[in-house]
Amino acid sequence: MIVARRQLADRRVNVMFWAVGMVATVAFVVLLYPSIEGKAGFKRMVEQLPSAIKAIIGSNEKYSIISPEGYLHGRLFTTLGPMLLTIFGIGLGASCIAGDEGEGTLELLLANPVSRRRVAGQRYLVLVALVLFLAAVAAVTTVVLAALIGGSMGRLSAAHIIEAMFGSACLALLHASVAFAIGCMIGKRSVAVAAAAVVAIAGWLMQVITASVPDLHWLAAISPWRWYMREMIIVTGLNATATLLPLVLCAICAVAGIAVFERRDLR
Amino acid sequence: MNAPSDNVIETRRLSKSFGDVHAVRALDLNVQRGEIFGFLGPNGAGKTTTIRMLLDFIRPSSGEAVVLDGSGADERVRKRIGYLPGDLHLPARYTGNELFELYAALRAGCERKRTDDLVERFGLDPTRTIGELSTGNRRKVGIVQAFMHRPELLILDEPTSGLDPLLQAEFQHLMREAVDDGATVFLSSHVLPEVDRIADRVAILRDGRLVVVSTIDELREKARQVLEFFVNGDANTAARAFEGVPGVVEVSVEDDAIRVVSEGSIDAVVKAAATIEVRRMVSLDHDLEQLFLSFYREDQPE
Repeated sequence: MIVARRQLADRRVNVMFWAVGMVATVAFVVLLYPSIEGKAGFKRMVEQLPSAIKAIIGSNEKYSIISPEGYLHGRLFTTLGPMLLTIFGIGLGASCIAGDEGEGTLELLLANPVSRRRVAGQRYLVLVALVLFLAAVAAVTTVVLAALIGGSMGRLSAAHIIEAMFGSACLALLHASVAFAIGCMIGKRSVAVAAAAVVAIAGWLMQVITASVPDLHWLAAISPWRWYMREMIIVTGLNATATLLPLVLCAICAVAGIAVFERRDLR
Repeated sequence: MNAPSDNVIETRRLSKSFGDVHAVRALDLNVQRGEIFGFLGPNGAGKTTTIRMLLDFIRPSSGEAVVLDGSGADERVRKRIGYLPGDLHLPARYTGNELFELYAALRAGCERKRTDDLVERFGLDPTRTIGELSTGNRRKVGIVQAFMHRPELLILDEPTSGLDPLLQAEFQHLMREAVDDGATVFLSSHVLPEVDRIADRVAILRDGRLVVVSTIDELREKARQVLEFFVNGDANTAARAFEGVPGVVEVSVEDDAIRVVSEGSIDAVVKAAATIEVRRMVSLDHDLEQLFLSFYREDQPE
């Protein structure tokens, strides 16, 4: 795992900054909860919003935004959490191969007795590990702060919090894998970032639209964000649509990306 | 394993096109074990494209390249190759040591001492990050990583560009030592002086095609030689001694100097010179470069 170890060392500082940012974001969201807990006026205000806006801020029919489940679901697990993880994942995924290739440093590395598959494969594993690491940091921060706040927030299931953040990580990994695969295939970081961002934004818009126009079932069916948000993992625990489906697509992206990378000319 | 063949690099009708651009066309090359092979051609002739095919960075459009009895796509083959790219991009955030450690780990079986010796020999500070280094010092990092595992085959693309003359000399020593230890050197360049002192054979490439493969000695033989004789007495009279001498192409006189341009063997010229009173003689052996340039031009000599 020489390549993987080197990749981890290369990303160490960057990931530490992201982890600090993740802790700060989660703290900001969770610690704000006591200030809206039980505020019926706030609840009414949210309920009057158009359904598309509700979808954007992550409001849910069953659990109001002022309940701890509804609040965390809306403010963290369906918005800031997966968005930050997705941005991190896309950036890193696009860099795995296309980053080095764009800088011109990939050829000298591949002149060594190391196969393209080994370089790409190990870097992909590091990508998965780092996205899961950041999600774990966010999950643990949430669990700890929820316990500190206590009250109804403190009674949330720690397992469900962790599972919800794992769902976020699966969604982020899907987009990271798209960035990785396009980077492997095209060798251009900017193209890889753009393609994955288009997938992420399109999927997110689809889930917003389907929230206000429930008849568009087919649109909901192809939005990865919808797969993840359909059930409130914080209430129900993990489900296959939120995890297995994106993870299978991740594997397909990774395999296809590496297969093309092995066969194409370097830039 | 098969007995190793004498050819360390063998290309058969090797071709590469990028869209409409034919970068390399039906190249047949044989590089023999233990030689220093100069791979010459102007910029854009297809030298780097050929090298990138040898190392499997790009795949041939047709034909094939056999490297060390295998393919550059094979990791076991690449383990035995040292590569110095012409357009050297090193990871800017690594220190020299980090780069050498990574490459040593990937290559397995590098002696640490060898790397340290090379670092010391080229006066490199391996604790600085590569991004901080000057262009010349980055080349040194490139040289060290190419030689550190004592490879059987060195593929060096324009290796001395960006090196000062002292380092160029040191680099030539290093190549010689590698060859003395049994290595083969494939050395690309767009200028002749970089290779003519050190290479055994050269190939000249133009527009992706092989123009000539020859030993340096053969090239020298074909090259015109210019001799200047400084004579006592009337130079114009003395110059008649060279008229009609086999191989003489041109005779001219300036003050007390007779300038004789000859082709092929210079024996007859020297014998003719023996009949006149020569005070001083100067050999201007610049014409290998002229010959080389004639291969570059569109209409080459027969």
